[in-house]
Amino acid sequence: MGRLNILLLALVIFCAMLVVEQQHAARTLFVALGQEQQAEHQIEVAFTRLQLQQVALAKGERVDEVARTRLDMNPPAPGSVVFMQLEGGFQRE
Amino acid sequence: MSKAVRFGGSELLEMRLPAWRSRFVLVCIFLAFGGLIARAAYLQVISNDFLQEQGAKRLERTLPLQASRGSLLDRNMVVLAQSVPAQAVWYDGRRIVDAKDEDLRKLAAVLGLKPDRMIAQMRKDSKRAFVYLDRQVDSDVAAKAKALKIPGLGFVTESKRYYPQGETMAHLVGFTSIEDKGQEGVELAFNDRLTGEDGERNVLRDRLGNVIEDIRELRPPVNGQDLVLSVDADVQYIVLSELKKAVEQHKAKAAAAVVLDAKTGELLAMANIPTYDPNNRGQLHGEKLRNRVFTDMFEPGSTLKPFGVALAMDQGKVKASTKIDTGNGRMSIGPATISDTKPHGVMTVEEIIQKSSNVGTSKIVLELERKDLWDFFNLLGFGQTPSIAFPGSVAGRVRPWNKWRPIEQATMSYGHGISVSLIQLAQSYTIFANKGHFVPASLIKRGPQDPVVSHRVIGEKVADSMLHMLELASGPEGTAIKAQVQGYRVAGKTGTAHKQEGGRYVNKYVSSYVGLAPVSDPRVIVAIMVDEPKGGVYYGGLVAAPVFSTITKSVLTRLNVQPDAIESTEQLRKFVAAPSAAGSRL
Repeated sequence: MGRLNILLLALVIFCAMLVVEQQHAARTLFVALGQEQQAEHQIEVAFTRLQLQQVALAKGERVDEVARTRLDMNPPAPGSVVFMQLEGGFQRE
Repeated sequence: MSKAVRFGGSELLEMRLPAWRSRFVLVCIFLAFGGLIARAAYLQVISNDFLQEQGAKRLERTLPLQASRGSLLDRNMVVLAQSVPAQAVWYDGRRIVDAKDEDLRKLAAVLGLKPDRMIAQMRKDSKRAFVYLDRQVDSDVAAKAKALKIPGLGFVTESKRYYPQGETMAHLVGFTSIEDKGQEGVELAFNDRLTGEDGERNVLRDRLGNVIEDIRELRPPVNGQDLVLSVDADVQYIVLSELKKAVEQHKAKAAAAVVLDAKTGELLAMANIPTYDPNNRGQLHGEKLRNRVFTDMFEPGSTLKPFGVALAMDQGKVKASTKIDTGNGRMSIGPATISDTKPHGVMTVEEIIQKSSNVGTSKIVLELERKDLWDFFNLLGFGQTPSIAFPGSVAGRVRPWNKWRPIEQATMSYGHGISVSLIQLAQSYTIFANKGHFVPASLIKRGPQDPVVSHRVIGEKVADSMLHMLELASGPEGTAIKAQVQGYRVAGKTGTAHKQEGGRYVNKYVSSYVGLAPVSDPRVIVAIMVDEPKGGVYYGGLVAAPVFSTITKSVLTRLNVQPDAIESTEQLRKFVAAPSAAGSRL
């Protein structure tokens, strides 16, 4: 009877230690998860910024200006515009 | 010594006390113990919620989860407006006075503020607990400010709205307030859909401030919906830049333009000059914000002529070939006189539209019942709040028919004594593009499955015949040869209206043009309005029509619409060798 009790006591203490250990591990992981989520959020924000930057670089106003000034392009004169017909008509968007 | 030695003694011990007294004390002590045990059991087993809650409260925090406002996109998914998290910087005036002067100067440099003014202000606020220093600061700038570790300086996450298209889209998209609420344009019209709902999470924090556990299930933030508008950013740019040129050339006070998809009524572009940059908050006031397409009404002038005539044809009162005598170009109704720019004599209905004769249209429209004409205007959306949900949209003004005098009925036939907005004018022309069906304008991109809402207003034959007349009007014999577009057949009508000031007509004009193209299968409706051109010319045919021409040409090319004014397919094939022109944007 005495031995069984001692065994059980040891078991209880062991389990208690395990609980503490697991709790600690869970919290550490949770903190790590939080950090990763933060990083994810930051990447999302960076993506949004890049998207905005891309739009700003590709907007008509800028394309027009770059084409005219840097690339020395002009709208074609009326006589030099040609139309091509694709097979099956023109593609609609 | 026989006598027993007494080592000590007390009279107290020798007293014979009753036994119950000691037992009584013992019982009292036991009872007290029992009480403590019962209390402990009660607190820890039965009613433990309270204490646990109190314990948690000391470590628990509620963190807000910010929902972001929905983005605005054009029909090709180009971003028109987007929110990015930013930081508001604030300080506690009572603590910031302890900060080092050089740190504060560094802070001012990081935030781009004037250091002396900033520090003076901080001194003044030395009793205030919360003062905003700067708002909507980019996150990376805020991080630099945070690194200075200035006591009493705090940061709050908020969001900043960016408008990458700048002034190009200003009037359509509108803008939000610093609190992220829609103030103008689509931002206001669809504020409810764009606004998200903030969430929150309750967490436990450890000694170091790390989040270690979620206590309750978190309430996730619901982000605002993204909105895909019908507008096309490229078309919009074309329209705005052409409009800008026109305003400069004619020294006009203002100008506005609308491009609609002729089949679906979708708004492809909508521009106003003067315009503004919604990213520059200091600018957001005054005349520049005026949206002449939706919120201003004007007397449209001759651009309204096709409608009265179309109704007369629909009712069988006249045919395209009916001859009408416009005499010497003057007609008296009561005390008033209606006149043409020059006498045309006897003309067919077709020629009346082509030459834009006021006398002719008046004669035709006076044949109509007043109520019929009024009903017809209503069906076309005039005098009705547009179904397009845009803040500040005006209904225009059509007086009740039972108060019309004959002279008013006559002037209305050529667009005076009636006020409309440019969007109403543009959408009314859908009846000529859709064989008599009226298609209301819309702001949101239509899905491929969404049905087009429309109602029949006039018969198919009348609509087609009017379309033909409008094509003649922009032909060599018409009023707007300058509206012609190389490669495409176009149809449309000029308008030149006197402006009213204080109830009287003055020598200021609104030049307008509404047209559709290509005539063989209309794809776009383009409406132009130039307010008070001062460059010497003011006729719609000379001011607005050329703008129509350049805009329509670029837009049709941009939309890859097949030219219908090239004589033969032979001619088309000849050009196959040159590949770069069809996709040209400029």
